[in-house]
Amino acid sequence: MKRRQREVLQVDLFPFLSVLACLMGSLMLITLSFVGGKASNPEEQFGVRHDPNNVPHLVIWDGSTILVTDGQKRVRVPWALAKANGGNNDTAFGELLRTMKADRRNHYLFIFVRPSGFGNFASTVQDLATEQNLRYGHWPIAQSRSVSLKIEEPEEGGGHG
Amino acid sequence: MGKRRRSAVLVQLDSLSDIMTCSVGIVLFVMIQAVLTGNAFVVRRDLPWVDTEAKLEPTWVLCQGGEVIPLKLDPVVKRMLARRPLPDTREGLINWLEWWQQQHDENELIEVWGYVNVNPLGDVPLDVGVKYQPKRNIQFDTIETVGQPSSLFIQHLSQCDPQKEYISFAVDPASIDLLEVAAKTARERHFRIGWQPETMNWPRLESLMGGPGKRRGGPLGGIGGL
Repeated sequence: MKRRQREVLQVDLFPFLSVLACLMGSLMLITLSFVGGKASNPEEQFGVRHDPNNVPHLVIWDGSTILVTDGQKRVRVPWALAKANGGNNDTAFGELLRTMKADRRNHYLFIFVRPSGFGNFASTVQDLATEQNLRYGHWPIAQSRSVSLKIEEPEEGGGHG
Repeated sequence: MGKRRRSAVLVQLDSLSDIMTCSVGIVLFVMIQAVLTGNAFVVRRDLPWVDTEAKLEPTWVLCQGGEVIPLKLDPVVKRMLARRPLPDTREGLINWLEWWQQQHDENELIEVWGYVNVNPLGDVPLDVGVKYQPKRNIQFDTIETVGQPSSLFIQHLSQCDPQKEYISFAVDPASIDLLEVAAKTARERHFRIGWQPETMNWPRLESLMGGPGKRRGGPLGGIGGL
């Protein structure tokens, strides 16, 4: 009787390797584009040392709406509503103004101005802040750049001048 | 002669497959790490407020069209008016205008000339003032050159007094990055800074008859200010 030849099960790994190589390339591309995107358009985080006498309230002006930020909460208020009744209204901006007016010495408004808001900033938000005798600061910010506020706790034993 | 048997080269792909799988795992790990720590790309800055009580006079510097243009208009106007005061008759004003057109100061960065808006029904001028614009043949500083010791901006700062003046920038939307560099340069020289968003159209008019306008802004002070 002829001896039966043993069959060897051979797995060809070549297609598996192609898929893996392709997957690795795609993942690297995704990673690089994500990191590159973040690096080219970084979020500007404004760090302010915790100071109960100088509490900043951050808003962003784009020419027609004012974005009121409160921690993670962001509320966009059209200027027509925000300025109603001299800022004494029920919008998020109105509430912010009331908070600030109740304690003017310890609170201040910080306004980021987008390029689209350059044309009317002085006659709108800046005028209102001046008329309401609010303490305020302002700085320009690129149209698409995101900004956030970080209140930094003072380090133990360290002060700043 | 027997047929020669074809020899097959067998490549063992197991090790390569191990390496590849491991690499994919590493790349996945890096990707997850990058997503989770995406907020690491932050620029830490301070938020200074406008110091409306500062007793400093603004010295205007324009950040327009990607150029820094120091503007010392008042000294030029004062010097011209000292040489030839503003007349109060129609004839005198016309002569004054003609005289001003002939004045050229090579040392100035801006060219300034007078204008008179006369009421056609009488001698009383409706408005008298100056028009000015940057000289076209001057190469003003850009974002690359503004911090260099030989720049026009730094020369201009050296003529200003940080105890009496603050640098007020008039910035157009295309010059935000330029403002950052110019403001840093001025702060390093102990100047306080302020800014206003403004796009200049040339030539610009400055009335000599109007009173002081509504004061807006001032140097930035408080946290982050100097």
